[in-house]
Amino acid sequence: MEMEISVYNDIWMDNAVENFYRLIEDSEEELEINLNKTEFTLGNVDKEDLGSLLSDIIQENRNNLIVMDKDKKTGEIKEIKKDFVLIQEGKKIDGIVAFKENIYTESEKSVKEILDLMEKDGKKTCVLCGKTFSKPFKKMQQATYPFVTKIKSLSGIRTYKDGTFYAFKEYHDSFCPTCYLIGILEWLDDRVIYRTFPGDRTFLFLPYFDNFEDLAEFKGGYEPLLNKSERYSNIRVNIGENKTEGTPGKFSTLLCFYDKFLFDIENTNIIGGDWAIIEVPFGSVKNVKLRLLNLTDSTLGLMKEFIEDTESRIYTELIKEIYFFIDNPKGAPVDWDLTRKIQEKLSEYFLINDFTHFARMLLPKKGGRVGYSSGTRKNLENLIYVWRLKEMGIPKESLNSIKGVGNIIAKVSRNNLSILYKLDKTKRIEDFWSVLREVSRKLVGLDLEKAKVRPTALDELIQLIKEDESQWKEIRDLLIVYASMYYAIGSRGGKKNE
Amino acid sequence: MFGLKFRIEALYFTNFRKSTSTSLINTYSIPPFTTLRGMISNALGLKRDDLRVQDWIKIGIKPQNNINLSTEMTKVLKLKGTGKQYQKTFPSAPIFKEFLVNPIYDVYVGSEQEVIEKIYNALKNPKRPLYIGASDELVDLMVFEPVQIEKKPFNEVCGVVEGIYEDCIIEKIPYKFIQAGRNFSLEYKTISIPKKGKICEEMDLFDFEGEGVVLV
Repeated sequence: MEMEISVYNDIWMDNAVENFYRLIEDSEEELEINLNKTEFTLGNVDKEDLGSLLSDIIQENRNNLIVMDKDKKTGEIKEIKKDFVLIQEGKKIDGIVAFKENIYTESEKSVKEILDLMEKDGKKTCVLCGKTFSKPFKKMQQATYPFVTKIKSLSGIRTYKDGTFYAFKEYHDSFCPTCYLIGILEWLDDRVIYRTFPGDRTFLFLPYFDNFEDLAEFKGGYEPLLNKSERYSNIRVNIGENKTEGTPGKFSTLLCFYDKFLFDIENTNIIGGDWAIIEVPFGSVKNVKLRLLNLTDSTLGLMKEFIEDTESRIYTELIKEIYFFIDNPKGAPVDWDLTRKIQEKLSEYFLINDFTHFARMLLPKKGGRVGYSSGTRKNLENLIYVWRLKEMGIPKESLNSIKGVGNIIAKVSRNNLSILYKLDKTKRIEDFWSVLREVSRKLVGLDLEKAKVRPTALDELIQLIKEDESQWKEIRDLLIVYASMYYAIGSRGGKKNE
Repeated sequence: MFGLKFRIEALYFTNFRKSTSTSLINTYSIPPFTTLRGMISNALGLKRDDLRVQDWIKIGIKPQNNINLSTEMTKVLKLKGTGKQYQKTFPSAPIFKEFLVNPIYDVYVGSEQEVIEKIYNALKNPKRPLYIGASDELVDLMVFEPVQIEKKPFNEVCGVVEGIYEDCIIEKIPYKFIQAGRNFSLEYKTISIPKKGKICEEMDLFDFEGEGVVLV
C-alpha cells in the first residue's frame, strides 16, 4: 500500500502530517517514507505490517494524552486525560481513561478498518483534502479537527430539497479515512506547546510554515524543551529537568519558549515566528478560539541579540522578576494577581513590538508601584538599549540625559504622581513641552543636593529632541520607563545611580 | 481568446468562510474561484445551483492591497426548521469571526469573445445587487473594457499563481463544485499569493495589456 499526502495549508492538519511522519520515523521500522517541502509519501508497504506498526505506535504514545495523578479521595494513582484533549471520554475503568475513539482503545481493529477504507476509491470528495473516497470511517468532529462543532444548526448549509423548500445538508460525513487517521493522531504530537489554567482554559501553540521541511526541522529543534508528562504546562524550566514553567498567560508562555529556544538550543537554522494559538475552554462545550500570531523578524532578531549581548533571558530574568508592590501592605507586600497581569502584558507588548504600552505597564498605579531588583533593572536597561536606543541611533551619552530627566520626573512626582500620568497621556509635542515646563517649575522647590538630581539633564534632553523632533514619542516612552524605575527605587528607600 | 478585467472593492469588511470551520468562522485571504463565479452568475441572473459559469471561464486574481485580517465576536443565527413554515425568530450563538478589512482585488476572466461580452454586460448592468462573502457585504465594481489576450513569456508574475512558490501565502481554496445527484463536492486548488506583490520567475502568462496574469 502507498500513501501520498500533500501539504494541506491548514494549521492542524499540516502539524498532523508532520507528526504522522515523525511517529513512523521514530519507530525505527525501515519503511520507505519521505517528507519533502510539499508532500509526505509512504511507499510499498504491506498493509498488515503498516496496521500493526500504527497500532503499536498509538499504544506506545498514548501517554501523551494523559497524565498520572493521585485520586483526591482514595489516594490511588490514576490516569487523567489532559484538559485540552478534545477526544471524548467515557467512564474510567480501573483508573484507566476510556477514550470514546476506538483508535485509542482498540487500535489494531480500528487501524485495520481505516487502512481497508483508504484503499478503496469512491465518488465522495473529502471536504478537507479534496480527494475522493468511498466511505468515511467517522464523521468530521472536534477530536479529528478542532475547528468544527457537532451542533447541527451551525454545521449545515442551506439547500433546496426537491427544489421547493430549504433543508439542511450536513457535510461532516464527507471526511475521508486518511484525514481522520492523520487528524486524530495529532493528539500524540508531543511538540505542541500547552499551558493550562485549571478551571479556565488551555492555550495550545502550533507553529505553522508553508512547507513540511521547515516545520519538521523547527519542531524537532525545540523538542528537548518540552516535558509531555506534566498536566498544566510543558515548557521545562531547564533542559533535562521535569519541572515546568508556570507562566501567567499565552504571550508569556510564548516568550518563555523563545527564551529557552534561543538560549539553550544550539545549531538552529529555522526559527519559526508564525504561531496558531488555539484556546480550549474548560467545561462541556469546548468551542475553540483561534488566534494567529506572526512575530516579525525584527522581534526575533531582537530576542537573539539581547540573549547574545547580555547572556540573559528576557522572560525568566527580566519580566518574570518584575513585581507589583503594594504601598503600606498589611498582609503580603506583593499583589500577585496584578503582578501576573503585568508580566503577561509586558510579554505581549514586547512580542508585538509595542514599546509605548510596554512602558505604560511600568508606571506606578493606585495603591502601589512596579518594582524589581538591581539585576533586573540592569536587564531592563539592556533591553531598552537594544530595543529602542540602538534603533534610534541615540548614543549612550544621550541616554544619561534621558535617565537624568527620568530621575528628575521621579523626584518631582514623589508627592504628585499626576505629572507622570500627564507625561504618559501626551499625544502632541506641544503637550510634551508643557509637561517638561511643569517639571522645570517643580524643580525650583526641590532640594537638589538631597534629591540627587542633575538639572542640566533637562537642557541636554531639550537639545536632543530639538535635533530630531520626530523622535519625541520614543523619548517620552523612555522617560516613562526611567521615571517609573527611579520612582520605584525611591519608594523602596534605596539609592539611585544615574 | 478574450479577457476581461474588473476591480472588486469589498466595502468595509468581508469574509470568505472556510467551510470546514464551523465552531468559529475562519476566512480565506482571497475570494475563492467558486465565490467569484457565484458573483458573476448573480450578475447574469442565473438561478441557484446553476453552475454553468464554471465551465465557461478561467479566472486570475490579484490582491490590490495588503491582506488585513482581524477578528470579532459575532452573533450567528442558527438554522432551524425545514423552511416549510414561516419562522419569526431564530436562536443565536456567539462565534469568533475572522474578517478582511476593505479588501480590493483585480479579477481577470478569460474565455470566448461571446462569453466575455455577456459577462461584461452583466457586470455593467447586473440582474441583482452584487455582493461577495456574506450576502449583506455589497461590492463596488469597476469594469474595464474587454481585450484580446494571448499567452506570452513574462519575467515576473503579479497576483495569484497555481502551485507552491517561495515567499508567498499558500492557500488551498475551493475551485469548482462537482455535482453528483443532489449532492455537491468541492475541488480545491493550491495557490500562492505573493507576499511582496510579485513572483520573479519566467512564465508563460496571459497578456492583459502588459499585465502578465495566470488564469486558473
